[in-house]
Amino acid sequence: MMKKRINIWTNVLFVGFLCFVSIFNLFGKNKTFSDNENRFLQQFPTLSLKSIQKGEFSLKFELWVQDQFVFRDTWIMVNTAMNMAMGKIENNNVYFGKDGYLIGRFFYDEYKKVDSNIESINNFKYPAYVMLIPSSAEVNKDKLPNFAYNSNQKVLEDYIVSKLQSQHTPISISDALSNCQDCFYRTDHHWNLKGANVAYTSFIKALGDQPIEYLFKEVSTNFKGTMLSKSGVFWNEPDHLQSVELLENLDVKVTIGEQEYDSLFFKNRLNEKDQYAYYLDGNHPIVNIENRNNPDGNHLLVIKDSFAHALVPMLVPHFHKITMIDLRYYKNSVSEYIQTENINDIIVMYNMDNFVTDGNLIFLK
Amino acid sequence: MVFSSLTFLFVYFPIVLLVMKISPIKLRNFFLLLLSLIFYGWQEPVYIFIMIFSTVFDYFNGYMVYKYKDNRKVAFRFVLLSIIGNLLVLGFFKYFDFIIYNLQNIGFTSLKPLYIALPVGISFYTFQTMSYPIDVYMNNATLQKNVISFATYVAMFPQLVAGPIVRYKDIASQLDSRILSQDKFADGVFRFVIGLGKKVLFANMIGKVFDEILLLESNLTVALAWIGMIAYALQIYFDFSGYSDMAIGIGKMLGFDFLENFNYPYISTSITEFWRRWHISLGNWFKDYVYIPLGGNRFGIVRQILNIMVVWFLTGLWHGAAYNFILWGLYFGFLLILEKLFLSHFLKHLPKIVQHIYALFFILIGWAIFAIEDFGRMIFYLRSMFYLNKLPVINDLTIYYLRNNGVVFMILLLASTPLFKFLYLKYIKNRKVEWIMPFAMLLVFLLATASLVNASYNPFLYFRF
Repeated sequence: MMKKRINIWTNVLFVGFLCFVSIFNLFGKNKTFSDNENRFLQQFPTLSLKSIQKGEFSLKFELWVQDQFVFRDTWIMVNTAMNMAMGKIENNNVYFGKDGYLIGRFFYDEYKKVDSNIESINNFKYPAYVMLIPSSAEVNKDKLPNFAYNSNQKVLEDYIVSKLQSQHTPISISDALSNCQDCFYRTDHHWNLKGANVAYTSFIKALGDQPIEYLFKEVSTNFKGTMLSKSGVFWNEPDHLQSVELLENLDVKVTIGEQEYDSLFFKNRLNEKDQYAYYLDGNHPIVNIENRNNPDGNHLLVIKDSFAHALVPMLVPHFHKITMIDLRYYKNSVSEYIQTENINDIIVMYNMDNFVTDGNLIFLK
Repeated sequence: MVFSSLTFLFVYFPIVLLVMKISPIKLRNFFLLLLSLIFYGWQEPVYIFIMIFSTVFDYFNGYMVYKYKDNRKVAFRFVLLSIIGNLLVLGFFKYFDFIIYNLQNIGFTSLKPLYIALPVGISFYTFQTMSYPIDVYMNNATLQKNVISFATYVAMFPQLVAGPIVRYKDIASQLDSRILSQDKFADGVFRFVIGLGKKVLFANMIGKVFDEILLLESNLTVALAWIGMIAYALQIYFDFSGYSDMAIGIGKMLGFDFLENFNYPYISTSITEFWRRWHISLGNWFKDYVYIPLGGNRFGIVRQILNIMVVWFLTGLWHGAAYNFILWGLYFGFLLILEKLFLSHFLKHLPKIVQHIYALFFILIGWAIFAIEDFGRMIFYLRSMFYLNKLPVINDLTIYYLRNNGVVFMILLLASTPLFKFLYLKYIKNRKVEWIMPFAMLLVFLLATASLVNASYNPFLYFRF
């Protein structure tokens, strides 16, 4: 008798759950964009004999079911929580660190790409400063969960510096950053202004100039960065984002493509998911900054990844012009650009994580 | 389509249950056939025609074998026709390109591969349809007059993609009448959800470990090489047996009883025993339709050894068109012969624990051969397992893998033994606490759904920027 009841319960729960979810999926409202993934979601595919025959329909149909699944974010959080309960210390290669830190795993097992990137820099005939920015896994070592494993970035930096040819000048910031508390976002892979400021001080001193004492002010308290998205820990406390008081009223002209702006900070970006783009509007092939307050200053060229966006605003008072080039998008000759413009200083500035994985440094020609 | 997809679980399967519920008994096979063909043709609709060909072809052969049942010679010709026809179909789709690559290597460079996409389940259903005329010939089955029933047997979606391989004689009677009941449905639900959990939760959770370890160079320590192989062994077991459980579970919900396909293979004390517990339906198929017709053990030891090697060469080749699978098959054939000749007698006198270690050791080495298609990589990996690459025994990365996956490893290792079943039978079944079972089932189903939704979560697109 009891067995009978248990079987009925089993069948009711199973069929009930199937129907409940299926019906919800069928009548749920379709979303167009996923902020966490930064991509458009699949919409219901068009049905035609041809699309069925080519297997296109079934493929897109399955993507549609996945992308528009009811309570999708909640399911993903359940999965993250389950992984935590199973004693995992990471999800999608993001460590569940202490004090709400979500720290990207840094791991490389071969030097091929590193060597090719060093070679690209060495083949570049213009003398440059080279700054390698350690990632959160190195700077926030004390926040990592026990037994987390990351490749040693200090060893890697020493290796790269030892191979660098003499026309270039390395600027090491790893020691200065290693004592830096709260210098990276907890939920994003980037450094924050405090971290960037440490590097700023080192660089300005290397140029023989006097660093300015900047004050920061809060502009956002709900920044949910890339590490939060990637880890699936959607319930993590969001980060705060800051601006630099002194730089807000500078008389600048920022040229991005055909557009010109009069600020280093882009307020409208604070309404979007990736608030880090508040600094210099995020990624572009080439960005020109002109500081009208310092017409006699030098022209600096920054070959960089996105880590530079938090740092470069602080450099602006020291120069007349700063040009940022992102080799992931800029495919023209950098040398030609240097010849046509009157460039005084060059800095190559890369985050370690990008330096060991990114293949675009070969475009440094 | 695969069972472990959201589309199957929350679109296709509810429709199947609904249609089966409302269709009249007489039309059930017809609807099941129709739904199965949709399942089959979901990705590659044109391949439905191969299946229909295979079905009609063997229906015809079976019919002719039956018609000439008093004239063994003629009947045998149709058996032969079926075998050759099916093997040609299988050979073309599965092995044509492999043969071309080999011919290219020995000088026929003008030959070009066709890059044929392997039709889903072709390795399974060609074996199944072939079994019908053979069964009729051997008087193990009677004639199936109804072509719809026969086609249902071939196309039936639960076992279509990854088995179990259902021999015609095992299911013949169920095609025409099968029992449906509340209790059987509940059994099916449990079986299906257990399988789903094994595949989606267990196998996927450990799946990343071997994939990552396989890519290591200077960090591939002795310990990591073994950890990787154990992870792969657990992954493939829970993946495959989970899929079989799902098939058996769905079968039950629809009224069918399929034979078991796995029986805790990793508790074996010998390789012979392992192959009686692993992918049972495939072993049975080769035994019934290759080993015994070749003469089995009836013509002396030399002939028996030859027969075993033929069976295991074919078993290896069946798993995939690549040399490592053939090597893997021959490797097991060789071990089985050794056990048959003297090793079993010797092992019997050793402590049980030594027998377990012996079996697991050779099973793991077998998986290394199976899992790593590239021979250079395979040798490197095997050498690492035995400290022949002179890489460290253990390092911090090893500790990390143990820390990050320790709990998962423990659970999966225990789950690959009958421990949980034992606990269930002893402390839960027919006791007051049994009421938790439906809720435990629902919990596993929920977690598996979460894991499947998460698999579609693809936040990698912009992280480098």
